[in-house]
Amino acid sequence: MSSGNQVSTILAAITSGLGTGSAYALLGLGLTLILAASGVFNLAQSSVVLGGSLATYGLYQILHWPILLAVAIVAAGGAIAGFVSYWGAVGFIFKRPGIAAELTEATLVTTLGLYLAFGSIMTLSFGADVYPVRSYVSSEAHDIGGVPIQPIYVVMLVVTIVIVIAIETFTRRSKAGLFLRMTFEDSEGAEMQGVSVRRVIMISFAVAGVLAAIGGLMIVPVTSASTSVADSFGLYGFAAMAIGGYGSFVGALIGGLIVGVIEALVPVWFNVQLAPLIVYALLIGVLVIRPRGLFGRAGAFGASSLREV
Amino acid sequence: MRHSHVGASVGVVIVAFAVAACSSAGTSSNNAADTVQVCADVSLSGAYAAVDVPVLAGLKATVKDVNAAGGLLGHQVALHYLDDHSDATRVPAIAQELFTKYKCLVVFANNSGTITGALVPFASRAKVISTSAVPTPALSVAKDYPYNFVLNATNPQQAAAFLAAAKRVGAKKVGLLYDNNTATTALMQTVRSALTSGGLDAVDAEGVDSTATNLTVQAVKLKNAGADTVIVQANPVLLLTAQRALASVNWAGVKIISSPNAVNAQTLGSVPSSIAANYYAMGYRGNLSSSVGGGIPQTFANSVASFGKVVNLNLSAQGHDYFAVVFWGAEQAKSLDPSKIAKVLESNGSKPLPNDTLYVEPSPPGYTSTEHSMAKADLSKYWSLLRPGKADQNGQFNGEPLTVG
Repeated sequence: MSSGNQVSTILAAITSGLGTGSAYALLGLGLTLILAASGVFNLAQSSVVLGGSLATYGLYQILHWPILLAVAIVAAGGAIAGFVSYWGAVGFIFKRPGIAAELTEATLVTTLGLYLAFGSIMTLSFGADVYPVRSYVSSEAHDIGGVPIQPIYVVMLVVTIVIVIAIETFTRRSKAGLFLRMTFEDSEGAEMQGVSVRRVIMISFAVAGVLAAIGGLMIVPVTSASTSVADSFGLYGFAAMAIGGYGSFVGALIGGLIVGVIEALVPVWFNVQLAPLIVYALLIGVLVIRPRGLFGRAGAFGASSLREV
Repeated sequence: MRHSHVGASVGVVIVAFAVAACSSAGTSSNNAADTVQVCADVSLSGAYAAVDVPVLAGLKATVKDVNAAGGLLGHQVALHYLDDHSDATRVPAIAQELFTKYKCLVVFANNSGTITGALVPFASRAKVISTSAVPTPALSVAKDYPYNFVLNATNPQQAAAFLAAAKRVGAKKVGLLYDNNTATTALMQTVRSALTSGGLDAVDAEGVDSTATNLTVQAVKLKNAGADTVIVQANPVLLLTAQRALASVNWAGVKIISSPNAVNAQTLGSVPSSIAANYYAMGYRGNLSSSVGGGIPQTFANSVASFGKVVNLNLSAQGHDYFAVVFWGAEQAKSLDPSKIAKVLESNGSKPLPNDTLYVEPSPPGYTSTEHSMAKADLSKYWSLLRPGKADQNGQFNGEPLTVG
């Protein structure tokens, strides 16, 4: 391959990687939100991505509903799924904030159970088939300097950046966001200030559900809808959160983009099946050198100091 | 309280596992002691479902027609099948159930290289005749698998067909994009050699995982390698991904030839408009509508239709042939002994089978005592070149016959 061709191949890989990485970032963002609020690793989060992609197939591909209407329905469904995750796997265990060790053991089992149960239900309902979904933007690539840029990847990246900015702005500038940060920083103190920590956690689950469902909607024209989507998404979403840093929203974005770009760049030079290996080697390397992740805050896993998990 | 809730969640998981573990299964109604049992391991969901669902319809139609004509050597025939969900790890359990519960005369051993490769050893050990379209050379060696018979072109024969198709569309520089499982990789190596020997330039080859969801990089690499034509050998699901990727990289005028195993209404009906004009699907003669050269009997199409909408008549006809060749062998041997049937199939040589024996496979198949592949069969009139568009009521397409050699 000539150097000019190699450059255009690399750039094409980077643009597609930034697009798919945006979806991983949304999943990582949701995982970070829940972890920061409650100290829980929600292993069922990727199931909501699956739900979002299958719902998009049904609403947009089969019923031909307008995409914005599908977005609204999918987002609402994601919020409901978040509530279900909270009540089904966490809420009844969660008596008081701060019992991190016992909470973590139990919620690892319950969120895993929820993930497996949901996957089985989806497989029974939809089978192991793959359902293509047409793109919600033009599928014609724009040639920029010899590099084909697909509009869908640009949309995914822009939407994700907007969401991260919105969440950061909300948590830093709004009163409600302030209470959220109080809960993240010191849940017992927040309780004493009259903040309902359980409600904050519940809302975190719901918001994370919305993010995951929207992630599934955004990426489904690229991946198609299938029950196997959840598996790969879950792994890469976790990697995005861990590389970016626990408790950091910007970190989840950067982590997701890094994972997406690595996944896309590997086939340029190596066997495509090395991509997961390289991603996880990077994850291990980051955690060894910097346990709190690239942008994580101080604490055992980079979350707020009271959320030691 | 906490432990009971955790226990309840674990219980949900266990129930979910138990329900999900149940495979689809089917059996026809004849189960008398003197009934001939025939079996099938089919993928009714997942990556290979698009192929096996119509094949199963053909198997059912064949059993129905044989029973209506008086059965096999006077015995009614009963079909038993299990769904492997396109997952080769399910094969041991499927083999256990099919071969111990029923004394199968013949088993259709799926059309996926991975699954067939897993099932054939079990069938051979159980002395069950197995038939499939997987041309893996190792599975055709009679000494190792004396009861396995392949009904499909060998890799060199497929490669010759790809070369003919490439020349037919005016290819000069060809790129290959394919599922990197072992069988397909071997086939693509043979195709690459055939292209080079045939005077074309094989400029690049990109193997991808069968579950890959984004092939943009591979499409760009093929484009940058200077290919004017891309041959895509993939399962139907991967082919859809490849179509999207090739359409997304602004590759004006690229010709695309997809493989016969991925011909179905979805892959030919949803070709992106930017690549449709130069898109060709290499198929079999049976994929052609009767108006342009297809020759599958309408009586068989009617029989398949009695089991539901005809999705892909060619694949259903292949299903017919997987059983029909063994039934013919049994009638010639006047026996249901697998060894005697295998002997008949091996010793037929160059004698054509009766016209109504095989609908789409070449006759004679050309098996020998050492080789159970179709290496010696005449496949010159076996192929077609199909065009994108809607399938007709029999799941067949517009296109033209492709003569090879």
